[in-house]
Amino acid sequence: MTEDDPDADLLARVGRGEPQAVREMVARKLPRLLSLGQRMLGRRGEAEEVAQEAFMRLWKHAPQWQPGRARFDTWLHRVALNLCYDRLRGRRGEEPGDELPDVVDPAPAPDETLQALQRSRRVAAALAALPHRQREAIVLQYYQELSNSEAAALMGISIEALESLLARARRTLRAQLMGDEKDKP
Amino acid sequence: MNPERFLALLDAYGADMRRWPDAERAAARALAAQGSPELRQRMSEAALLDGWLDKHTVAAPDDALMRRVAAGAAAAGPASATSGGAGWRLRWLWPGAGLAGIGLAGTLAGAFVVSVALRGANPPDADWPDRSTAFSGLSADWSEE
Repeated sequence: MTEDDPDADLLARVGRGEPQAVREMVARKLPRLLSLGQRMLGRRGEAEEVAQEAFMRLWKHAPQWQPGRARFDTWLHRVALNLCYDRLRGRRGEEPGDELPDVVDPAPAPDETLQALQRSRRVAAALAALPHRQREAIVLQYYQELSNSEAAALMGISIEALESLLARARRTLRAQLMGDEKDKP
Repeated sequence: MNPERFLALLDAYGADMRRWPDAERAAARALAAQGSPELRQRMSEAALLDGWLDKHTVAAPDDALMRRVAAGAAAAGPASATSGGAGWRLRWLWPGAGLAGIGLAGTLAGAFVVSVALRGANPPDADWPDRSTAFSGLSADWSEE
């Protein structure tokens, strides 16, 4: 945790066992972990389980968190990614059709169109079809909005290698989503 | 920055330069401002893909999941015991621990009255589930990474 770690104060309060801090931490990080898990795994149920397991480790580690080693959010992403990869490894041998992502309607606003939901599903399918490392790169950099250095460090690769993975991922996604000139987001 | 590096960044990070590396953003903006037709065209294409990616949404956690996750804090186990001891759990499970102490010291006849008073004294925490219901069905490996 560095001095400018935006989660430092809240984490310290969690470590002291303040119930309000626990609730704030859940509100702050649970949506983020769910997004990570669902985009990595494509399955809502598994994403929720990963988020819960990651939080259990958070609760256990909060009182002993050592400042100055890593940003808390980066550490939490590492924990969740490890859990995601455990599950992806466990899928070996499954039928290809099992990789199709779950679709959970994100509580659409009244005026949200069916077309928007269809587009969301289409992007989910395109993400699910990416090789794992390309998917991880674009999920961390684009959707989780981590810096390139944070994403590269989490993946254990250089920034140049991250940029290569991102470019390949975007090229594939472009072909899948925009192959037809009429396809507009 | 030369156009080749600009296009490499565009291919990797997309059209929104806020996502680009801090150290290269200013130079990239300066190059884009020169208005090269090729760069403009490539940025438009990248923006279209960004628009597609932004269409993918993930549902927010529902209230039940948030409660289950928060309840896990009270079940975290050894870590809380080493730092805050029983008080950590006590404050979580019974936020009015001081009042609870008084209640426990009270007479049997008064215990019911105290418990009712505690529920009323701590409405913000009273609606969180008991930790005994959280994760009871999971057998996750909680070992260190």
